[in-house]
Amino acid sequence: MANPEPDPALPPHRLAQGAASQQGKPPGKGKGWSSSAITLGTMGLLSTLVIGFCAAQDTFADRVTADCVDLNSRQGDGSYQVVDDDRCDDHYHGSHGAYGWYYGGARAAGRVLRGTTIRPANAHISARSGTVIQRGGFGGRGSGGS
Amino acid sequence: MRREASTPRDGWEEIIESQGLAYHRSAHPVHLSRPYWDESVHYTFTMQEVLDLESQVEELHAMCLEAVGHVIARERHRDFALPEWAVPEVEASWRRRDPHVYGRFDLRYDGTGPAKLLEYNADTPTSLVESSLIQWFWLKDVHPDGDQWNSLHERLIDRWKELPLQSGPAHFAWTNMDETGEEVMTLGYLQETAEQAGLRTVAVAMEDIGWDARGLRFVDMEQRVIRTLCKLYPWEWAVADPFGPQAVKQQISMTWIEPLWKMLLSNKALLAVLWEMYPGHPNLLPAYLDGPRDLPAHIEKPLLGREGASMRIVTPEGTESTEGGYGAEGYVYQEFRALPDFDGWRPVLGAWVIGDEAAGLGIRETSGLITDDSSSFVPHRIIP
Repeated sequence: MANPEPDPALPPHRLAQGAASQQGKPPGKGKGWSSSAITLGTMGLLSTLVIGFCAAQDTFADRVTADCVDLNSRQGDGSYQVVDDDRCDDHYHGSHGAYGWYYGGARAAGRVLRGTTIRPANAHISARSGTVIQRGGFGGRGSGGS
Repeated sequence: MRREASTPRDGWEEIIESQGLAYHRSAHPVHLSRPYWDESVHYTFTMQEVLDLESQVEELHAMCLEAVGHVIARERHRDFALPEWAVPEVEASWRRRDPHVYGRFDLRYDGTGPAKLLEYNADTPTSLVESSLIQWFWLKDVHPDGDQWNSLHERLIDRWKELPLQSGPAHFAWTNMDETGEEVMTLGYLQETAEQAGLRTVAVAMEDIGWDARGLRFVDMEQRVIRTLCKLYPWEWAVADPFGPQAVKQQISMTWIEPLWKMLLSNKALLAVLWEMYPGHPNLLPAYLDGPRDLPAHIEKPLLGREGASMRIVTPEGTESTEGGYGAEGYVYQEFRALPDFDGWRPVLGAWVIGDEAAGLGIRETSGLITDDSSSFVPHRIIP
């Protein structure tokens, strides 16, 4: 399980529906002691996800290389032009949609092919050019709540 | 403050699981006959008791903030066993007042005198889901017109709204090592409150966080820059990890919840510093770093222990200790005051602080003198 985020398209949890009638009320003001209304969007869903959580951990997942490519540069052989990793960054201010990550491809002469634009599940992904993404520098100690 | 028997709801296990308490089985030692969530009893408080506790909690929190400033001004960080190289960034984090969200005081309280501070879980507090949600829905089911010291849910949402966060999604990081699901559920709940506050959020495993050595920034699995990271991973672990130096150095450009300066609160050396600063304060027990001094009975607590591990109680009648591998960085010696006895069970009050305000209560009970992972969570309500 890579991400416990719920699907936003799912209908509200039944608990949330029960609480919906209270939504019009103003929340407790100032020094209130108690919650006036609670909506539960995802907790029930999360709860079922946790059951399968441990089984899905990807300790031995494949390592996949990613290249940032110009998605409009696809040629007949299926290859894409590799561009600077920055263009695939979330905060690149150019024409963002034109670039994307290409996973597990083979590089040849500034182009990359035989890969996929679909991010592989359960894989550790590192960019190839310039950017060196190291992972695994946190963790491995157990659960930290107190 | 009273302890009352009550009849569990039919199907209570399914109810609490549907509300998010999936770990009530997995996180609890299997040999125990008592469930982790136990609604066959609950505590009642008068409104006056709650008002008194609320003001005591807010005073304690204010004293703790004073203590952080004191430790930094007097260069007392060695008493907290902070690594020297991290100290300047801890100080900078405090001077910037890097924003904080929540913490939980553990208090000894029996309804007759002032609450006594046992510790401040200010960095990675748990039992949030059961405090905020599970006992609230219990109250609404069992005492529909009743009241509870619990505004955790909307205070959390309000707190997320008022935080000065940078652009981009807020990342919520759990560790793959958590086999119980407690951490992922707690973070899932925090993430839910942040979403309800209008934040865009992403979940990530601590182990999957990447360091972009060229851009000098942390990234997630999609190569998105991590600018806000909400974790349940103790700072003392993060600092000692391979990415520790980067994490500490990047605090100026990131927001970690909780912030780096909370290393000075989630450390039991705080108890001794507070007693130095406020000797005789009614909400404190005497505590020292250099030994038990003249305490008639004391408890030795490792500075960075968790779940009641590695503690030792020394009284004229004898000693009692718990297992554990903590204590390498030292101990604090606090006066031992036995937890109060209610029908053979000993409650610890977990009083929540959101932002800088008291926001709710969660109670755990043990049969022994030290609250550990065998404790059970019991709900409470306010009686007229």
